[in-house]
Amino acid sequence: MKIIQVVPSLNYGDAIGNNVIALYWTFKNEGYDSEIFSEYINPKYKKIAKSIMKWEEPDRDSVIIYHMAIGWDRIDIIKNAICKKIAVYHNVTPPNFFKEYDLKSYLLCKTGLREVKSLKDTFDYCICDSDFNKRDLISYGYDCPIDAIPILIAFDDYKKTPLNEIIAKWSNKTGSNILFVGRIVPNKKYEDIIASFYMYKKYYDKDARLFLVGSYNEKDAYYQRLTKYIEQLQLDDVYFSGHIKFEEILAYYSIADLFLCLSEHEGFCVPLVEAMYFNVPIVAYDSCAVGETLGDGGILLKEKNFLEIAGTIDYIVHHDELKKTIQENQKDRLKYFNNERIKKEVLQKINGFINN
Amino acid sequence: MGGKIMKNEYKEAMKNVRKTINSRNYSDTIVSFNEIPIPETYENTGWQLTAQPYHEDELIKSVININKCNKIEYYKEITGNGSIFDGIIIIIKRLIRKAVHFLIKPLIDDQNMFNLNTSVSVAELTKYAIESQKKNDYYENEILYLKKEIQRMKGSFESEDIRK
Repeated sequence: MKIIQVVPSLNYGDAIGNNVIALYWTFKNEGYDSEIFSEYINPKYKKIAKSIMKWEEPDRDSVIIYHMAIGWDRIDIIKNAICKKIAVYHNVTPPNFFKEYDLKSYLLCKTGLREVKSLKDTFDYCICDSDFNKRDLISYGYDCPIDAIPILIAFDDYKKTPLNEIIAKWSNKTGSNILFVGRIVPNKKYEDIIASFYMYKKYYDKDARLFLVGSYNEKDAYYQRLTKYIEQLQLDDVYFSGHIKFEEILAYYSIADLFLCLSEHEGFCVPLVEAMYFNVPIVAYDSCAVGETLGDGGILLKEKNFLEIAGTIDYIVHHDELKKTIQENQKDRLKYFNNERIKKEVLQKINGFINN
Repeated sequence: MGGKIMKNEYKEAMKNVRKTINSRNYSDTIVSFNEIPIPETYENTGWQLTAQPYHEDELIKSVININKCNKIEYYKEITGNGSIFDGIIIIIKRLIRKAVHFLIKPLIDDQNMFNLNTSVSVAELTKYAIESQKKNDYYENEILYLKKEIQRMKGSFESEDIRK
């Protein structure tokens, strides 16, 4: 039996890429003939994945697993395939977030969303990263069986040695280090993080630093607007890392006193699990899948009051008891994302689907 | 919010946070992000163009811009970076360009062909849109004139009826 995963873009180190590769090995170890097809393949995966140009119509006994996250102009190969089809839905960012900033991303998300809706009768079974994503699919009219199973996270990568230069530079300074990790895109609401940090610095910790770790394009209107906002607030100590190596990201987690997430659209939010792994207490705004991923770990804010967020940061950073409780709860929550457990669940569901 | 134990601790924490904010008269006044104008960039001006009401001048301007940049030149001037090795750098760059010519040039030619066809299509569609607009304007005036004529004739019929 052949299980063929199809993903428009197979990137190295991103959540979907990691998930595809982890599933590839899971199926292979289970004795399936496992394959990956993609239009763009990161050179690191050239030996594992095949170019979509080499696509051959799979036989009836095969199973296609299509990873849905953005529009793809070759989607017809999935639609026309005669075998069983499974979708893994990672969510599509609502296009409106990009409307004023980036026409290309706006159109890509719009096409992606339209495509997800148009595929409602294509799949026999769907797996979603979260219940939030599952609700999305149901609202789009998907009536096939759908299960919510967390994404497989490459925890082994986190065992790499963090870059010492960053740790040495920032860890022994006065003032706390506040962190958020994610691409600089409007749905992550960086402006709210900056506003909260402004309050925190003004009233609680004048030496605090804010590290915004994620790739950005200097010409991007959203990034430019954020930098203008920081200028307007006359705010120092806000650092945009840009695209950096994984060892550097690990270093930022190592020096962080608190992880602040005020994002307003996440289909899962892997950085929350990363913060749990690195024992960084989390304060997050309850939107989309954030509350679900955070579970009983971390502080979940029901509203965005920048002054209160600043106060909460201060309270956690300077009250060891609450900080310890949060860290313990996060450790417990982390167990839920254990790869072996998730792999078992995925296999159980997929075996069940194949045998039925 | 987290587990049961944490819920109580969190409530306590928030109580303290609010107490501190009130007792110290911390102000929540802050410049709103909405007050920062969105910079116009290549990525978003296209959208702004379409987000605004249709404007014929804008359409013509962008069609002219398309025609200005629809041809990719393979043989652009090769420059150095201002160092003393510029001469060598330029020679190496030229050699590289020569070496990949067989690979890149056909791609550029294909892209140029696509760009050319797209530009012509856009220009033709624009002409069609402008001509249609003119026709629409003409028909609108015609309709307006005919409506007035109908009204006028109705009026004269009615006055004739009254006379009868």
